[in-house]
Amino acid sequence: MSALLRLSGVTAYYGAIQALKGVDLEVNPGEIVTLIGANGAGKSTLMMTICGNPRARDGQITYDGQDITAQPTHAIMRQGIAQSPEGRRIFPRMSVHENLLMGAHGHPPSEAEATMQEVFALFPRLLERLSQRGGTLSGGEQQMLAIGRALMSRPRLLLLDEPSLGLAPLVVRHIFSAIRELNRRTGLTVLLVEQNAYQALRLAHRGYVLVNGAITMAGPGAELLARPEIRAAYLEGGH
Amino acid sequence: MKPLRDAGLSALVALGLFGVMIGLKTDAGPHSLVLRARPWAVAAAVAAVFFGRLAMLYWRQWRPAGTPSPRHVAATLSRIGRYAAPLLLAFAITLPLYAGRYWLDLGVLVLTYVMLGWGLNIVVGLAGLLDLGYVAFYAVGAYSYALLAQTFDLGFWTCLPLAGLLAALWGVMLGFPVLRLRGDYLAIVTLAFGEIIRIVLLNWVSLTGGPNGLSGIPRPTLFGLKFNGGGGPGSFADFFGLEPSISQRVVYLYFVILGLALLTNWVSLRLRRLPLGRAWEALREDEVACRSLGINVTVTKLTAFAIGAAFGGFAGAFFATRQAFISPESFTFIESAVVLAIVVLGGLGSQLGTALAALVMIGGAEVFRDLQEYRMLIFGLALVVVMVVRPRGLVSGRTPSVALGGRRHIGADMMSEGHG
Repeated sequence: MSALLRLSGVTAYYGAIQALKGVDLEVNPGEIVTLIGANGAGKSTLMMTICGNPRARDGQITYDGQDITAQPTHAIMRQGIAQSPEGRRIFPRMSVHENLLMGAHGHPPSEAEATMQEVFALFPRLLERLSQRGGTLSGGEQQMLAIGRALMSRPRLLLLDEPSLGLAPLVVRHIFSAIRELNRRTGLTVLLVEQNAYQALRLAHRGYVLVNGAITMAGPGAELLARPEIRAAYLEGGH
Repeated sequence: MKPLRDAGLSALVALGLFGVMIGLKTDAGPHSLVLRARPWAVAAAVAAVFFGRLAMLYWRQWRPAGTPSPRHVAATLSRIGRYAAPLLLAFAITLPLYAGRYWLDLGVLVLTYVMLGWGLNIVVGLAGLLDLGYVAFYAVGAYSYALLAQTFDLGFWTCLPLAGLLAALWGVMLGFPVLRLRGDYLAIVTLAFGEIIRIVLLNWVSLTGGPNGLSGIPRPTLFGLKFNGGGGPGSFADFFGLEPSISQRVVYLYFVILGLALLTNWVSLRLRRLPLGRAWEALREDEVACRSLGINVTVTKLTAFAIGAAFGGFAGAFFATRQAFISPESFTFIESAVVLAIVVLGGLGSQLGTALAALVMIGGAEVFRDLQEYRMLIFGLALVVVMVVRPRGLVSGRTPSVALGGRRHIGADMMSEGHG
């Protein structure tokens, strides 16, 4: 099976600081893959590097068989990759409706309308809040909006950067079950970056562990969850 | 006790300021300038500050508990806004019927600034790019028209689109180097750009006439009919069998700038509902998020600069044809500052607010002309008062560009305050 997204030997720098030290990672079509790691391990950097900002210095990133390493961000995001960025980054003064439409930028309006109905089916709360401005939503609703906005471009690969950040456990469960449902129903491929290792590994088919910019472990979600070193480092005492 | 001490301190500050500014006056004496002291004027000013401050402090203390909530105020204002816009428009269209030459000239001036405000609003209000050099495009438009008309003997209506196009081109040229800059840094570079254009105009004497400017710029015509005081064949008065009068040209100029301003307004309102306009607003909100949604930030920014500049160029061409004379002196930094002040005072992104602010600032400055040097004092005071009372501008809040069913107003509390 050929991978939808493949990173081989990817390095990235912030100035002189090396944030990624040769990462190899694969996401196959229809999979949910999670990347877990501590604060500052480089998880979000990896996510942003896939989007070309910062650009990978060495190594190669291929999507659907195409080399996207050197492409500009907006071009990458138009090939069927969508991102729900860290911190959600919704447009606070624009309405929920406008936020969603921004996600369908460059797509015909009729298609956007149909996609929006699918987003409402997944997150009915967004329909209730449609004319409200983004900044007045609760954290959970903002996360739903960020994911909904990403889905508006009808992606094949969804990049989710810490969707559980700052949310109540009940809300996290709701959002994770929505991701699972989406994956089952439409076969959407998901790369999920999380600190909430327990929830993420339970959701994902496979997982990677990132430590100091390098992958230290990889395997099926359930298997990683059972490993004592994972339990010790990421699960005990938290979540 | 505290209010008294507070008012006393304010009076002390006033004494320090006014002691020199008001207390000393220079008069022309028999041989040289004579310094005259005016202690009573100072005393009056200081007393006014003391009691004014005291009254303000007591008012704050005894203010009735039932002050209207911001939401209520916003709703009322939006209701007023619905009627204010058509009323203002009707007033603007019918003005030439009852206003004399002086008021029409003032109307032309105000409308020029309304148009500049709406043009800059695209860049600053919608796209959130702080531009302190907007006057550069005004200048490019004015000189483009003047030079094209004089060199190639082209008419106003032929040159108008060319002037806009050239200004847009300069907008893109400014846009490229500043793509990576934001906020304060962007403001400084645009400020420098405005100055560069002015200095080039000042020093390129062979082309622009330098400080002498360009004169004898042709007036606009109506389908080839000229507006001149003398009448004669080919003139508007002759064609319609009217008494030749200079006021016909003033009325014509008035309607030209009204039409241009309304065009600017219409285009901005249309653009806001298009994906491009929405992308501008999203860019103002969060550039990183825009990138992650596949929006080409470069193109989006450049179009904002180009379209905003084009309207500045149109306004400049109009300015040149109205004045028949232009020189670099008309395009100093203060012009950029006034236009920006109009946009900020009106409420960033608000079309109605910009129009009202232009009316108040330009019209007000003209009405208070008799007050001479106190004019700028009142002007500055008014700016401070508006920014204190309504920190988000006269008409703040935005209407979403899409809505299912009824439109809903987005309250002022979510608008940017102070610096964008």
